[in-house]
Amino acid sequence: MNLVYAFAIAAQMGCGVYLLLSRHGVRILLGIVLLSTATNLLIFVAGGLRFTAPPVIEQGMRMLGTETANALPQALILTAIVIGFALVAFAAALMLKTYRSVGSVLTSDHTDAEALGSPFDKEALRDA
Amino acid sequence: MQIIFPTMSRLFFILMIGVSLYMLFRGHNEPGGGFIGGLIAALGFALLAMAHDVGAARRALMVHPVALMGGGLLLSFVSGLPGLLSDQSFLTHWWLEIGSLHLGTATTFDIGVYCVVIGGVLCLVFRLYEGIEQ
Amino acid sequence: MAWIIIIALAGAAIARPAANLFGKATGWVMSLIPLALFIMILRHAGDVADGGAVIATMSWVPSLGVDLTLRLDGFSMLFGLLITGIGTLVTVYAGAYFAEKPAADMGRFLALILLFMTAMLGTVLSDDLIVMFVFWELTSLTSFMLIGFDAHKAEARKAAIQSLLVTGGGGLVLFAGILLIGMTLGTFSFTEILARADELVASPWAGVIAVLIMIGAFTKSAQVPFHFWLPNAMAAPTPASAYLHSATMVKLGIYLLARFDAVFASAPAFGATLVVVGSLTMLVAALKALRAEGYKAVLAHSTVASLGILVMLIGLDGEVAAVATVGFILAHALYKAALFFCAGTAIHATGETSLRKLGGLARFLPVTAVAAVLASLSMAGLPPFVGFISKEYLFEAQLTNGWNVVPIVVAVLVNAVMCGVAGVVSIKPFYFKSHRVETVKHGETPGLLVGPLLLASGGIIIGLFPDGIGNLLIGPAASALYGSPIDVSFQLWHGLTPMLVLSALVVAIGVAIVVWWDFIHDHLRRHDRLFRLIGDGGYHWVVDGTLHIARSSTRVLQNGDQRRYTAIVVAVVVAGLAFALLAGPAGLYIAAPDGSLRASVAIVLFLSAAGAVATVLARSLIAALVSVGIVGFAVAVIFMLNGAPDLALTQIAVETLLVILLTAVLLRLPARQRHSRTVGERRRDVGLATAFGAVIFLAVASMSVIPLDMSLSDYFGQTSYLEGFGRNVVNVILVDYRAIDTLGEIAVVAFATLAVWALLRNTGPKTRTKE
Repeated sequence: MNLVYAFAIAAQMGCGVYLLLSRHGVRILLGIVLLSTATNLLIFVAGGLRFTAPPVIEQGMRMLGTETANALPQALILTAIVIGFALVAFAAALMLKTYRSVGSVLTSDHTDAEALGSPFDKEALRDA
Repeated sequence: MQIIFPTMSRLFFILMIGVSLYMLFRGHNEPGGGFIGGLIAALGFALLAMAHDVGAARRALMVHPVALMGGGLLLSFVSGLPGLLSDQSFLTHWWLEIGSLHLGTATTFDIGVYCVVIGGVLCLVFRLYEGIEQ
Repeated sequence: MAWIIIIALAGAAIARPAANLFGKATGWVMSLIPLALFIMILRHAGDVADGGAVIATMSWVPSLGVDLTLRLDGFSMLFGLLITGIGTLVTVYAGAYFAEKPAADMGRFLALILLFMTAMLGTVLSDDLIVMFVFWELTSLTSFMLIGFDAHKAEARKAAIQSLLVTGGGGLVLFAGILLIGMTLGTFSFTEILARADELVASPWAGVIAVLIMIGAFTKSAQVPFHFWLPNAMAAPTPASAYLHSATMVKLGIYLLARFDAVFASAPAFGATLVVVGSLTMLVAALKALRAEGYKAVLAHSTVASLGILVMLIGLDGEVAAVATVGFILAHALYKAALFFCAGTAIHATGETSLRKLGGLARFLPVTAVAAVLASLSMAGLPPFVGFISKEYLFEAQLTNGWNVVPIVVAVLVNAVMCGVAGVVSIKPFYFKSHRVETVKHGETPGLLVGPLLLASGGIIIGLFPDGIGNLLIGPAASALYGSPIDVSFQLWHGLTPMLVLSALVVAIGVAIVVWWDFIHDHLRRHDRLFRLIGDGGYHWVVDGTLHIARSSTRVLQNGDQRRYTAIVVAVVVAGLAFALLAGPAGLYIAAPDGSLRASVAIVLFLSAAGAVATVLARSLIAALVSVGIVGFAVAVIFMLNGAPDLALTQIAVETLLVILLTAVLLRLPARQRHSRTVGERRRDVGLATAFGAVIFLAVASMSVIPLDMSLSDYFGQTSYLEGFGRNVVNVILVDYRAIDTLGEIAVVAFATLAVWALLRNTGPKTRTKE
């Protein structure tokens, strides 16, 4: 079972990295989504998968039964999902804004900073 | 289709807000909570925004999404202050026991989370759907 | 005692408004603050007379064990009095020096001077080494600001950066030493360190600690090979040079070494190193002093030589060496500050900095000339000045230590040069007829005279009546240094001793140097190569080399292609993970199939992998978005099948919202997608992505080797209902146990979405009117 999880996580992450290496803004964005989903799954797997009962204390009991899923990684992942969502939304807005001002979603076209030249060349000019 | 969707969307919207509140308040004992509740409520408003327009969703929300978000953040923060007074420990919650029902500042905290999530997500939805014509 | 530092700091804070309020009288008004502090410190004289110390403690950073413990003993009192005493005179002098400048300049300068004074007092008064270090670095910072005070001059900026790099860098080295001491002894309190000195010396770190502390002190006190920054620091306004770069700050290294000499008393290599470094510094600085042209430069080089003498003296053992150290610190502070004041007045009056172009100034600056002569007589070591007494002790310390003849010859020569310098800097600009100055821009004002006159006459008064100062200052300070009370007879006349013979020799050579100054000077100026060797070439080599590395690495790494940045990060992660997997304690281990395969889960997992691959292969962005959605929903199902309904619900909601939002984004972008990568690039990216996936696969597969620590989860499970009154443990963790985390996280969500709200504000004016 473990190896199947490992395969699925590795496949998601590998695809995520491949998309991340793209020059197209939207594909980078989708790469981030894949990577964060896979990371959440990775944390989930790392927390152990021995039991499948939700970590909810049954009525009439005062403590959690021993045969329930690990609650701690779930709590961590829950916030991570929402934060990952906010991150992607922010990146999407950034990309949209860049597209509006530059007219392209390709990072190879975003050369405003490079067009200013190397800071070292400026320094050399000033010293001379 | 053009008639059914907007009409049904009102119904779905009310249903989803109801479900989200249910999720929020049962969250302490059953699966649910502020994050899930907030997301479901935000989906409800998003539905409204897509079926009608952003204006309709904003009217349904009544308050500004940024204000809702700020208010939620403030509420969550304030819910930690009583603990600071009694135990010198921020966010150590106070509890009130009425029979078998427990009411505490933890619920207030979760309501704050709920508001932040709704407000935040709606900031995104409204901004991105503004100006997109039907 | 904390009031001393608080008042000094308050003085720094009010200096700027005061300058606007009092105008030209500001110097006089503000000098009341250091004067008051001088008196406050002096009132403790009785407490430290027998070698004791006054201690005041208050808690500062209790969680780190850092206390604001102030400790005043004889040695810190000597420094405290020098700092506040000369501080008073510098404030008065600066008031007159800046009289014609805008009030803002004077306010800024006085604020920096008083801030520096605060830092100095903090350094010499703190007992905790961490606190001392903070003040120590503050002196470096204020020194940087003061050297670069005339920020419009490139030379001043360069010198300021050089001094900051050298002293600040040395400070970091010192900090490393302090941390090692804390690691070894478990305390930062100097009193306790001194009490447990044997333990420290016996520890394996002792050698490293000693070297680190020495480097810290050598950078601050401009010892070889860090001697070059001090002469360049003369770009500072002269009052600052007099205060920081001769009388006080550069002596901090001496202060530190003297303090730690007691700790490392049982390690002879410590003292021997100091003697060698001190002697080298003396020689190098003396040579450079003979060659220097600028008035202040000559004084600066002689200051470096004096600091070398002090380092050498600390390296020597015994009571006499302690007395000699203390006496020399006092004598040097008095005459050197006075000479700097005189130099400042002369340069201020003529606008000419080169010693060769100054002459006959006594007609215009008669009182300054007298003060210069008095101070230089003390510097030359002639009786009855205090400089003479301190020099006698210097030779006595050397002779009683039984050191071989080389350091003594060095000391005689260097003192002769100092004697020569003293003669040249006082006689030449004021009395020589060559290069007579015909007009001066500024004359003498009372503010310009108080400092040099008081200090110079102090030199002769102490020399004539050494008993008072001997009992009040020298005795307690030397006792504190030595570790036990010393009966000091600080006397002018010691009888016909070998020391007197050496003194006479020094004066004779010194006179010869004055007579043949121009000849020696011209001769030395021809030897460029030697002086390049002992100049700041090494510093420039290091700085230029660092910049070169930065430049070339920037060209390689920051080439402007975002793809390359990502690729480098990914490659590093792959390499790091692979290394950890192979070299880690568990080794590479893949858990054998354990037979727990559940068909339902496996199918969904394969679906998620297929979705990920489909995202990559998708031709249109919409198709890719749908594929990403499939992955998200598949993962939600996996959460559901493994007992995480909360996660499943959240994931489904988020995935839905993501599709809704990204659709809106895609609607605004051009639909047509062309390949953004060449075939070769894609091939390389596939390789990198595959490597990343492979490493992750191995990592996840071998993860189950390490047993899971469930204690925290068990605790949450057991107490969730009893203490948090909730049956859903996940929710209780979120809103109760880890509520501060959650608060932080919703704040992140709020700020990110707020940023989006602001970023996309100008979607169109239509939306505004709708509201």
